[in-house]
Amino acid sequence: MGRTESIFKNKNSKGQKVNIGYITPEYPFAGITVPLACMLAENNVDIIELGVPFSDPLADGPTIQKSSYNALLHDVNLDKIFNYVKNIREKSKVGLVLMSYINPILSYGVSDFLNNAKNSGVDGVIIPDLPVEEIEFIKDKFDLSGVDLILLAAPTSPLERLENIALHSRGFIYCVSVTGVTGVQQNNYIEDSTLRFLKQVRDVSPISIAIGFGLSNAAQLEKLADYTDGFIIGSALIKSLEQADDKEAAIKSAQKFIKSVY
Amino acid sequence: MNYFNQHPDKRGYFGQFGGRFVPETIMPALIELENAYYKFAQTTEFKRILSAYLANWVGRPTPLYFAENLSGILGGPKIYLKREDLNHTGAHKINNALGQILLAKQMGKKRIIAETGAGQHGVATATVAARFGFECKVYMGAEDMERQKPNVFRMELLGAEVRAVTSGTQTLKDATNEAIRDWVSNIRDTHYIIGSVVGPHPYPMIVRDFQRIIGDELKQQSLARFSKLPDAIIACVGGGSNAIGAFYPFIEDENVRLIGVEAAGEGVETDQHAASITKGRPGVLHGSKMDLLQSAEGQITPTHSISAGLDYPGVGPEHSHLNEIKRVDYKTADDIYAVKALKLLSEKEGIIPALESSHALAYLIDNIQDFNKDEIVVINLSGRGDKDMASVRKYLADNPTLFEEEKGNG
Repeated sequence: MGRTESIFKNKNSKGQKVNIGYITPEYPFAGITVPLACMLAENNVDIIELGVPFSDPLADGPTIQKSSYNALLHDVNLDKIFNYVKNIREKSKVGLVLMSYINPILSYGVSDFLNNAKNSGVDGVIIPDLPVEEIEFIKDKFDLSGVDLILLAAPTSPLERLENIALHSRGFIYCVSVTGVTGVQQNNYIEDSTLRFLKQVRDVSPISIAIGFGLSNAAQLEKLADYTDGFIIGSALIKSLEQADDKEAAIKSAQKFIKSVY
Repeated sequence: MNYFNQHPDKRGYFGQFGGRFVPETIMPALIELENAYYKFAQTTEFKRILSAYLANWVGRPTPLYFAENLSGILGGPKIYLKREDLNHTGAHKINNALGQILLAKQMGKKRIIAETGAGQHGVATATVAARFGFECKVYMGAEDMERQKPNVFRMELLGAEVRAVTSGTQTLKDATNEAIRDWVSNIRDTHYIIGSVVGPHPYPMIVRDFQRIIGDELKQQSLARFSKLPDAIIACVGGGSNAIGAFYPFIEDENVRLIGVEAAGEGVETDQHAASITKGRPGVLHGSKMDLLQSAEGQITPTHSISAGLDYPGVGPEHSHLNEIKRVDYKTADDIYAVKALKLLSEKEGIIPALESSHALAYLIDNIQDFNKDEIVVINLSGRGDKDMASVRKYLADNPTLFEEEKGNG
């Protein structure tokens, strides 16, 4: 069993949810990545999702587009990210997954990517532009490396697709809460259709599920709690960093935010 | 050569290129579109309606015009122009927009979105949306809106909302990102009319099939007038929809030379160009695997062309495949030669071509020695140049000496 899966087993067996937090490396300040991740790990975040910046993040809303662009300005690349992962891993047992569009991985070379991911301590990878139809060329390499290929499910996915996603996803299934891009929703209301969607995924899935996209406060999480094994907070966490004047203040502000939700 | 019916394959691949690299949210809509396409677009009824609009509203078939003056001056082959510039809205883009809106109607969609570079596809989409009563939003890079002001006004006059895209490089690539984000968010009632043979399967196939009328007509016209096929067909390639439309029916006719011309901007040896096949390598952007201008780390790099319609870092996956199997030759033309070609055609034939199409002509002019006198060469004149007047005027003003020297020598 991989680390991600055991984190879910462990927390869920205690009746707790798995808390996942998304950060973009070096955003909003250079040097923030490792201390920010460690702070999150000490504040009830079980899995950290590190965003690999891409020039054309088409599944992301304005917040993550901006942080991703900023990371590219700081020359963040996969080699640097593997280093951050190594540093975090030395200090913490927190789960570490990467969120990357497929092109930077292809460009790096899939085998090299998986070797270095494994060696640095990456537990899983989420690839938002790789639907289950396209995993064939990459799937066996992931299975062999022991790094989880975490697939996404969407509210638009019909049952037979959900079954196929459940069959092939490793670690957990990333359930997208809205038909849309990442980002804080104006409306905090959780639709009944979202709950029905989560129930449907859970019914077909042999592994744990987590919900993400648009989550930003404790009230939303409470409404979703019965329907999911974990939560993913991204844009709202990124936003909590943005008002600060320096690295330390940003980490403090993120700590305050994360304590209010997780 | 047995090409037809195998490209794309069932998974939407042309050799190693193509596929569907999109967020899961979009996948069901792509499958719905593919099913709708197979169910409706092949029926006699659909074809009858499409043909009627193409004939009476778009103005097809477009003429195959013998450019006698140009042929005489260049002293090379007989040059013919396939006059896609004479289509309603001034370019080949309407062929695809019309086909797709009829599909959208069949699928019961209410809203249309599109991306546009030069504005030609945006205008074509706004036009069909107006005719068939759809709400329409067109995403356009802020820089392109500046370069193509008249087209922005045309779209607005047609009732479309033009949304300025200020992210990234503010050109076609970023407009496409934004259109895809809109589609992800409104997937149930919205159809995305992609303007070129790019994007996830089934788009490269659907757009090609709606554009192949260019090549189908060309074949008929050639046989009727010359009792043979042309010796060569030359078309510009950005995403590559006019080129694939002209080339596709000839792919198995191996004696017909097919030449795609990419935008070399300030030269392929600089980093100011948009020559994806010539200088790129395989990668994934906008849902498809294709030749891509990218950094060593897989970040998409900025492109440049004087022609907004060619200013795109990728190219249709079928072109990447046709390059790999060496059925089509992909060449380039610089900004300056495109502008010179535009001037020459305007002065000698009374036809102002689009800057995009001028690249095809520029290649021919520059390589006229490669063609025999008795050969028939067809340039796909994909659009008219009215939209480019501001860009051309600026280019001529910025580079006065280049053209004066030419006069002195000539």
